[in-house]
Amino acid sequence: MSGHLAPYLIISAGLFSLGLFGALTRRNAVAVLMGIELMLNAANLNLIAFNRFLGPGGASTVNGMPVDGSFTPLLAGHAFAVVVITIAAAEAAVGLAIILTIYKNARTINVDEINWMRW
Amino acid sequence: MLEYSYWIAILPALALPINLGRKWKEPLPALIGLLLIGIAWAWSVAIFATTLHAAPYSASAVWAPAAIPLKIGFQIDHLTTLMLLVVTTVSLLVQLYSIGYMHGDPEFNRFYAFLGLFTAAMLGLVISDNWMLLMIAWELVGVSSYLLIGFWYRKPSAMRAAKKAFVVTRLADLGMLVGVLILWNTFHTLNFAEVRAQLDPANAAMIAACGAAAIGLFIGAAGKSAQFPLHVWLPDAMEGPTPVSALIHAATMVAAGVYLVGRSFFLFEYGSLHTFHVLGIGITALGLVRFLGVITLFMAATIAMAQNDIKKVLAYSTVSQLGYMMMGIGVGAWVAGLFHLMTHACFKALLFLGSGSVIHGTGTQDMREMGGLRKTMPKTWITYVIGYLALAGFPLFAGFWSKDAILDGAHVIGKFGPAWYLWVGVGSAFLTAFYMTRQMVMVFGGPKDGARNPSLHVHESPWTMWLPLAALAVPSLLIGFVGMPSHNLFRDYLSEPAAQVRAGSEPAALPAYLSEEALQQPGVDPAVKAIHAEEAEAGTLLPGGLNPTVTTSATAAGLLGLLLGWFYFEAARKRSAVMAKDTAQRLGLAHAAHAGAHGHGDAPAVDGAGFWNEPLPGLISRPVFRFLEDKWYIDEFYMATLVKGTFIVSAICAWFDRNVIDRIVNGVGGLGLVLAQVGRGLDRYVVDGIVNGLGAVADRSGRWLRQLQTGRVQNYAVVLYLGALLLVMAGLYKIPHH
Repeated sequence: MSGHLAPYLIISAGLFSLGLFGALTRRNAVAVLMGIELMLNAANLNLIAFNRFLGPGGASTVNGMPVDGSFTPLLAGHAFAVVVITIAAAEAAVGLAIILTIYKNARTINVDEINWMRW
Repeated sequence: MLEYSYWIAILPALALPINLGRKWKEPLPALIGLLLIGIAWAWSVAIFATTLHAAPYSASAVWAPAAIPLKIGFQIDHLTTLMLLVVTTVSLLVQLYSIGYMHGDPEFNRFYAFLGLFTAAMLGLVISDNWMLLMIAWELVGVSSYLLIGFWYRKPSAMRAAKKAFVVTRLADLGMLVGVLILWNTFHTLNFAEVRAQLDPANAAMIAACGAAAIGLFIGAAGKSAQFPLHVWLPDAMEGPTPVSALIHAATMVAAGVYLVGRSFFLFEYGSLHTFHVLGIGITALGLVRFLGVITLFMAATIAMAQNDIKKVLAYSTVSQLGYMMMGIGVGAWVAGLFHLMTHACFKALLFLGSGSVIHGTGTQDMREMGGLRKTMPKTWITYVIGYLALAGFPLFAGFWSKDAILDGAHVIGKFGPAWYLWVGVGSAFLTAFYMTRQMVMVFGGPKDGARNPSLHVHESPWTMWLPLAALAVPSLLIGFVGMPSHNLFRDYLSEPAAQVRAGSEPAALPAYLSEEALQQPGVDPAVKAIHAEEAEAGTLLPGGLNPTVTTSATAAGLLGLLLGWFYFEAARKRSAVMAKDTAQRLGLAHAAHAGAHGHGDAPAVDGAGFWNEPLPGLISRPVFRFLEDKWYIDEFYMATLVKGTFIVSAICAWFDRNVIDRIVNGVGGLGLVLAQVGRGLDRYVVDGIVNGLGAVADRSGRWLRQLQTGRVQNYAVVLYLGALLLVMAGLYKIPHH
């Protein structure tokens, strides 16, 4: 386990970019959902990493307190990450349900063809 | 009963809506009119009986509430009662008479409607207790006079006469309006009694204001009572039906002016304390009244001598007699003036109705065609003789007493001022007797078949026509005795409520509005002095209390007129009859009958009648006769000056209107048009431009912006991402560097 924050952030950014790229470029709606999952998990990685290095007792703290003097509860990043995972699960469920419904109506999950919500 | 007596003035007016409401069959409108006027007459008699010794009754109500409220009301005093009796009596008889006279007229109902309106207005005039209501009734009287003169409106001459009467009297009413306004301005009330109570003999400004107001009132009165120079309408008014002439233009309406001056006499007397100086001539209110009265008296009497229309003679006689009344009032004998008003109403209504009977019986108004009617129309003749003697002042007839009373007043003023009023009055009495004798000879004189126009089919009139004649003949004969100077019931009756008259035997105390000092001031009219002078000639009076100088001369003048006229015109009639016979023999009677032409001014039907065109050879030369026949050329004078002047002024006004005012108006209109065009441009290109421009901007930007909504979720996500990135970068930029 590296003792620096930066490598986590870089990986997280890469993961986020991959997810973003997937979400913006894939024609398959399920792949778009997968991209979104990637971005959410990149955020989770960030949350955990920030908590590990900047939270109470973190590597970058002074006397166990954040340098700017703010108070962050113990395991706050973990709590956020758990919430995000929960939301992501719900989102995946709703998203897949929508995709299923669209598929039933339009017989396609190609997002380029699902463009009837326009002027 | 008295408190409801204003209904007298309303009842007869009901005939107007009832009779105009439907074209009732012939006798019904007359019965309606007679019923209404009969009630009014009976009521008047009852009022006379109950108020014989009573104090005046009056009641008024606020008409226009204001800081100074305008009140109108009515009053029953002896003068009002007298006028009520005169008006209702004459109106009743005239309405009865008209059943026969207007028989067969297609607009019988309209005639009775207007008669009712007139009677009501006249009664309203005499019952009023203020100048305001009096003036309203006065104008109503004028309107109904207009309607009745122009009753036969299809006749152009009647139409013209109606217009003339209305315009002339209306013009005079302007003077009355000014007088009333002066009174309002001075006293802030128009009630007779209230004004009278405020008069102050020491207040010079008030005296002058009242003098001016009295002159204004007299101008109005001169118009209605046909005083020179406003008399010109009355002879023309004879175009109306003869009952109308009898009622309105002899007995009542023309007497309204005399009534007004008599009613306002205290104002005239008070105002005559002041002399106005106009162009170096001193004018007082009473002085103007008697001066115009005496001119009217003499002028009309001379004109009456040269008329050949039976009604024109009576019309000028009426003008002349109104001149007597005005002169009587002007010399201070206002009771005598009103006395003459009453007697004249009787005998002149009688004469007019008699002339109507003659016209009805012969079918012509031209006296030159008549003659010998004494035999064919005996009832008309007898009553006419009574009226004639009353008018001519034959001793003991009605006109004798009243004329004598007026001349007595003129005699009294001679001691304080000009004495010539008496002698003009006496001279005119001679003329009156003379022209009336001429008329009698022309109409009734000669043998039975003496009608100079043999084509006339003369017949006596029905009873509805001669009965009123008989009814009027009685007072014409007897009523003068109530004014006998020694037992002057008439004067006592009028003066009983308030001693305000020249007393015959004992000098009357000065009324409150006069004082000994005021009478001593310079500029006081001699009539005012004469009224309050003590009677000096007691003991030398004739039986009946008559003044010897006055009575002898006036009676002598009247009898001389009768005799001279009789000899002169009887001789003339015989000569003309001889001439007519000669001519008829020469030309053949058929030709003479064939040439029968009706109407005034035509060539006489029968040759001998031409004699009457210049009936006074040896007395009056032909140019003078022409002058009289053409009525002193007063109409022509008005035609050349006032009428033509009015036309010229109106032509100038029309030019001014067309070329100046119209141009200004059109210019303003054009300017408005130009401004409107500018406004239209502004509206179209600026206001509309802004509004439409805003709309267009929204429209265009909407069209453009909606393209952003592609419906592709990933496009939105890109924008979302870029936006978030932008925010993050902005946030980074904002974070201060450590």
